[in-house]
Amino acid sequence: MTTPTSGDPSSAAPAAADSPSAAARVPVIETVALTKHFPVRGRGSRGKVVHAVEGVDLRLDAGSVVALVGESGSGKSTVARLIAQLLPRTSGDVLLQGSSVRVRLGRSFRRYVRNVQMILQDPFASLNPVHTVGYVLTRSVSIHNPGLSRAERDQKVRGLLEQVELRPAERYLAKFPHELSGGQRQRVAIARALGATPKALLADEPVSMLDVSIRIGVLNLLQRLKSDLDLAILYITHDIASARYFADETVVMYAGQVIERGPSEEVTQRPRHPYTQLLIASAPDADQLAGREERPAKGEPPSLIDPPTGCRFNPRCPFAMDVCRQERPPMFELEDGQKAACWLYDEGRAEERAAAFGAGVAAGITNGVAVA
Amino acid sequence: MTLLDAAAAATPPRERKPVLEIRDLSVDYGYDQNAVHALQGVDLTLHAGEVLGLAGESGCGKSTLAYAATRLLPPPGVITGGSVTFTSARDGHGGDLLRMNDAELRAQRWRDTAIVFQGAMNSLNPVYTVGRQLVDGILAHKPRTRDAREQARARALELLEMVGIPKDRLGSYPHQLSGGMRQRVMIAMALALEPEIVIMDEPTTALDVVMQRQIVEQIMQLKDELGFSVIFITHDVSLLLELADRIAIMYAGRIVEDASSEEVYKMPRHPYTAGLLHSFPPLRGPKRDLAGIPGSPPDLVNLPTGCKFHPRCPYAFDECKLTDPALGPTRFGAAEPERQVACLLNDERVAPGPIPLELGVRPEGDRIA
Ligand SMILES: Nc1ncnc2c1ncn2[C@@H]1O[C@H](COP(=O)(O)OP(=O)(O)OP(=O)(O)O)[C@@H](O)[C@H]1O
Ligand SMILES: Nc1ncnc2c1ncn2[C@@H]1O[C@H](COP(=O)(O)OP(=O)(O)OP(=O)(O)O)[C@@H](O)[C@H]1O
Ligand code: SF4
Ligand code: SF4
Ligand SMILES: [Mg+2]
Ligand SMILES: [Mg+2]
Repeated sequence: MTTPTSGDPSSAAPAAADSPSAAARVPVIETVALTKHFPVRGRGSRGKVVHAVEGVDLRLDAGSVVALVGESGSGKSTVARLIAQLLPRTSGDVLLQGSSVRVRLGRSFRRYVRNVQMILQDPFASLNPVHTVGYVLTRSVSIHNPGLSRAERDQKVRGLLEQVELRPAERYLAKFPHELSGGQRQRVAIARALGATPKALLADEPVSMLDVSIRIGVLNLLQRLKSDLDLAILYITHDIASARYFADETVVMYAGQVIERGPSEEVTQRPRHPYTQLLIASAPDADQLAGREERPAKGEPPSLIDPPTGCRFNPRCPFAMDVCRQERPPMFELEDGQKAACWLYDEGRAEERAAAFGAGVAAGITNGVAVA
Repeated sequence: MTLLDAAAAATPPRERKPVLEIRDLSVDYGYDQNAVHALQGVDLTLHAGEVLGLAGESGCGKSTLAYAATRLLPPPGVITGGSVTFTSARDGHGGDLLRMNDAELRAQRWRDTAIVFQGAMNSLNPVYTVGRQLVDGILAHKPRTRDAREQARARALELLEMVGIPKDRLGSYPHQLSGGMRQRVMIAMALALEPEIVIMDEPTTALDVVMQRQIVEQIMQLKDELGFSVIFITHDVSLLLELADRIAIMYAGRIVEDASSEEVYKMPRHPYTAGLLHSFPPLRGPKRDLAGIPGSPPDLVNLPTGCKFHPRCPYAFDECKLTDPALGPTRFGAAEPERQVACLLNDERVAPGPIPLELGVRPEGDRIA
């Protein structure tokens, strides 16, 4: 959905998706109507399920970062775990370079894992405390590159450390995880993932556990790796401001569904879906103190066992209409590659739109075209 | 309160009554040479009606300060020196908390100062309803009269309503509430005895931004209604810039900068503060370069010599390795009497030339957006 080779997020050209070259380029990972229902255990819940992820379409291209944002419990991690094949999906499909992935065992699974690596939130838990950095990386390199000579392997391990900016490499080889800072540990986890020479990285809140002062360093590293290694990166975060800086495209989830998507700058500067607007308005921002709109955000995230009918945001939405309670809104295609699943963008609802956003703002918003 | 209100309130220095004065407070974890020097000579003042923000990286001593100031420090923590003086803004009673005996402390705690512990929302007892836990909490501090339980129940309902939880949730078990609701219950508990000071240690960190905003707005509203003062602890400076009147920035167990929110934001004086401000990607406005801070937070057992920030400081000069700067006036001295900083760049006797541009925004005239 974005210009595949450009490193500059602001140049993410939404129109590229329609241009022949981009269309011809096969995405590294694609999910089609990806769905996960977890069975609910316990008395009186027979047959009930948690609708954790429903109908999620994602496209990860080489050399680009897609951010997945949304509140706690909206299904972000589940999407990543489905893509990583750590969980069986209920329905829908995951494609690696155009072919459906239906493996969970054996050699083909290993091939898939090599191509799709996951980086987790907690660098403390993800590294075994009894192994040195050298051991961890050597193991990753040997598993994924059998047949390397010892010298080649050692060289590759050093190269990995250099790549994640742990220099000089020698200083880190003999260290145990507890001798490293959080940021260094997360770099080792990234190096381990790179040991597989993956095509895609799934980074689930890779910096949330790190100190604010060192987060930027790790995010800059991920962005550099994306361009240097032409990686496709899924960046899961609560922090929509970081999505603005580090992701070409931003996808917003609410209660298991994608409700808005588009180039990160558009989505963060001009959110279209009422939930995204609430999310942006809630983020702390010292620059905006005077201008904060008072649009009280009431209510709790919905139950995923008995989700609200129609639009899942309707119980909290200040603009909810009758149709919102009855029918799930499709994705409406708006200008500049932005899409939002909200009935306000339906043709013939210009009046409601003006009432919701103020006539001036609404005048700048065209009708959407339902695309899904 | 917004930055603008804060600015308006700050310009004619209104009369500010201190309710909590922390002086030269030091805390170690452990004894001998392996002791972690978690706090070193901390000075901090909370004024009546004020929201004082306390920010800094993980491990810099924020929670330790909160525990020490309320005498709730768990072992092996030891207060090695200092004083913490409470003076009621309501009737003037008080004294040095560090010198009170157990009975005096018990009377003081929760009634004068209450604390919402970090991660507290996960410490509710899973086998009792939140109503029961609220009622028990209130009863623990009330004389045992015959209708005490009835009164406590009524008060619990009142408190829940105050923090925006429907009354019918009194009978809910903690797991039946969302994280945001559990956190509100903890806030309700802290407010039960109408304290004058509420210390909140990362009250919103585990919540997503929408819930965070709801809770923060609720706290501010309650503060105005009930008239308590707040110490708000978080690592998220951007949140503090919005809600705090003053901000104290901590590094390695010391306060390195203490100023009004607006001053911290528009003219930081300490290189660490400036680094923190450049660590947050701004959500709005033009994109700007993000630097973060090189290196990582120091090991408190093996602290660097001199200024504890010098290994990471872009402006460090020779003297920084030798002298540990004390918290004191800024280079602009009397022009900004209300703020303090601990950085040798502000000491003209040793600083090598003019103050770096980034840290030298003049107090007057430069108050531009
Ligand atoms: N193994 C499981 N069994 C049952 N329910 C689950 C399971 N894993 C996740 N869920 C539920 O699925 C929903 C989505 O969870 P998920 O962890 O994907 O959310 P998230 O967006 O990653 O949240 P967070 O931001 O808090 O990490 C939640 O309601 C969660 O409780
Ligand atoms: N029981 C303990 N024994 C030894 N050291 C401790 C103990 N508790 C805390 N410390 C150390 O004291 C320092 C200050 O810890 P504190 O919990 O006050 O930090 P903090 O600023 O609240 O951090 P965070 O943001 O992670 O909550 C840390 O370096 C910590 O490792
Ligand atoms: S579809 Fe209706 S309820 Fe949903 S976000 Fe749009 S206006 Fe609100
Ligand atoms: S004293 Fe020196 S090292 Fe410390 S913050 Fe100031 S300039 Fe940097
Ligand atoms: Mg998650
Ligand atoms: Mg703490």
